[in-house]
Amino acid sequence: MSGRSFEAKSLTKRFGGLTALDDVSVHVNEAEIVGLIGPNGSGKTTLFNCATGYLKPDKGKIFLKRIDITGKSPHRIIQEGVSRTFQITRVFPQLTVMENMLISISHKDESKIRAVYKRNHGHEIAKALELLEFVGISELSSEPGGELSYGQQKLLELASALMQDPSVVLLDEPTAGVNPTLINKIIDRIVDANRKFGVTFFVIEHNMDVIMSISMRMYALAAGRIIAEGDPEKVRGNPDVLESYLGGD
Amino acid sequence: MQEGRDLFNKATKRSWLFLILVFLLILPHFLENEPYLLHVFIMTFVYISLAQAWNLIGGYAGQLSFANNAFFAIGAYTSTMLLIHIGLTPWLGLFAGITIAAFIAYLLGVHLFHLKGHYFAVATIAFAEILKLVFLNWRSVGAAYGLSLPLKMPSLYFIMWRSKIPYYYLFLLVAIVSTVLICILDQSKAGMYLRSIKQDEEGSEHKGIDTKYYKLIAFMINAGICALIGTFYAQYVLYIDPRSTMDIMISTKCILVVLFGGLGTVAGPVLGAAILVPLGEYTRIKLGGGGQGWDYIVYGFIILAILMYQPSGVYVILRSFKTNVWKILRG
Repeated sequence: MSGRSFEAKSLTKRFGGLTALDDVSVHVNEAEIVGLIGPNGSGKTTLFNCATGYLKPDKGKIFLKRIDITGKSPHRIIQEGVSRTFQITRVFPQLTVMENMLISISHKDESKIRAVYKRNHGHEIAKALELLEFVGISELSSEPGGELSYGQQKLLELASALMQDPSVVLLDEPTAGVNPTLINKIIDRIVDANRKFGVTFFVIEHNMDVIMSISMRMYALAAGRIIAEGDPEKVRGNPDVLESYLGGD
Repeated sequence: MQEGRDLFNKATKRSWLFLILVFLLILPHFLENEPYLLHVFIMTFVYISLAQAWNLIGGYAGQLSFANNAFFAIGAYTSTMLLIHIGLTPWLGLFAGITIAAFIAYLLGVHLFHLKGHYFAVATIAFAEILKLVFLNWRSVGAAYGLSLPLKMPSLYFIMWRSKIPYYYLFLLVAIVSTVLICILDQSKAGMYLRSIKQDEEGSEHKGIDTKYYKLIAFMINAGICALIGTFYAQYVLYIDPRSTMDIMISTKCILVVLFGGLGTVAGPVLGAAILVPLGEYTRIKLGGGGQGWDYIVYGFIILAILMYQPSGVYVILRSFKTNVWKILRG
């Protein structure tokens, strides 16, 4: 059993009277792909937002490689090694594809004074090109991000999330709004990145076929609680999960 | 082929810049008896620098600041007070001015950067106006009467000369230095981060960029450049008062110049100032008479035309013009 990359311990987040996350504990081991499913409004994205410091949890702790990162600001948490993509792509439209990659380098050991007059190192550019090749959009590197199709933007986000050699990558619906051919390509790249480079993924996904085919373990969230976890097949077959998806009482 | 063309373009660009520079260097010798024309050139250089400073915070970082006039005045007042009271050379006074302006920018930034868009603009206007009110009533800095600089022997040491020509070179140098500074920043990682912050601040934060830090740096450099020009400006006009140095039109004009020339480009402020400042002076002479304001009306119409025709500014118009000419020449 390898070490834990990411762990949330009894996380609770309330919005006024609504409890979006209720004592949620999840963990992702190194080089694992873990799925997170649940109906709309069950708190999946809230969990990601707490994990990246965008929201402050009311209770509970978040660890990255066993280091407590609870309450740090988003840029600090990202610098510690959490990469994230968004449900709706968040490519910088007026930066070129290459620039989109270069702003995603690891900022942890970067000299902020030197950044004012220095350009990017050659090896950073080489790495960006390599990753763009990996997702198959290297020929677009000098295009503005806004010129890319939605699917290409998804690939760019995936590539840029890998730029900083993250401890864990949080993918929020990586295949939402993408045509079937491209869905296969994105799945391919995620699995490839995991197998070849040992990248750890924590993936929210609505598409059951997608999440079943890539995850090694799975969590199911409903109304802010973890209702099932473990082997994907078992989670899918769990009566509580079926009920929350198909609508029970 | 493509490479050859790029090289050619770069080479022609360099030779053009070189020609313009030589022209600007020898020009004053033909204008010795034309102090007014020299003044127009000097004011153009002043606005190139001020607009470059604003370009950094407004054009790159996307923060609509109206505090340029405040920083400009802080520079002018600091060095002037030091010169009056302890006879300190403005060369040292300007460092005091830059330090104070940058420090105030830091304090302002820390407290105001959580305000977005127009709210930030309004807050900076409020700051500049409050500062103006304070100076208008503050006896020891001359209140509304302002300060006259003590006349010293004309020398580089006191930055005082009888002729306008040395001032011309001084402000030309400042304009070049501030443009080169922005050029370096434009190419740097920080320049890229600022552009990303302008497009999506939250997204940049999620890339691990310390957005507050880079906005603060941009604001402080902006303030420092303004203060530097403030000092030189005071040495040039030899009289400063709150109404002339803290006029909000200074900030507005900086913004107009950048918008007109091209937001977030290095060439934009240069082009904008080179066109708008002489035009403003010209319209003021031709249409003035009845008081101030005509130049601003003309400005208004030009800005409207630019916004309707090409919101990206004159720089983009010229660039596309160049490409078209190139196409025609190649058949």
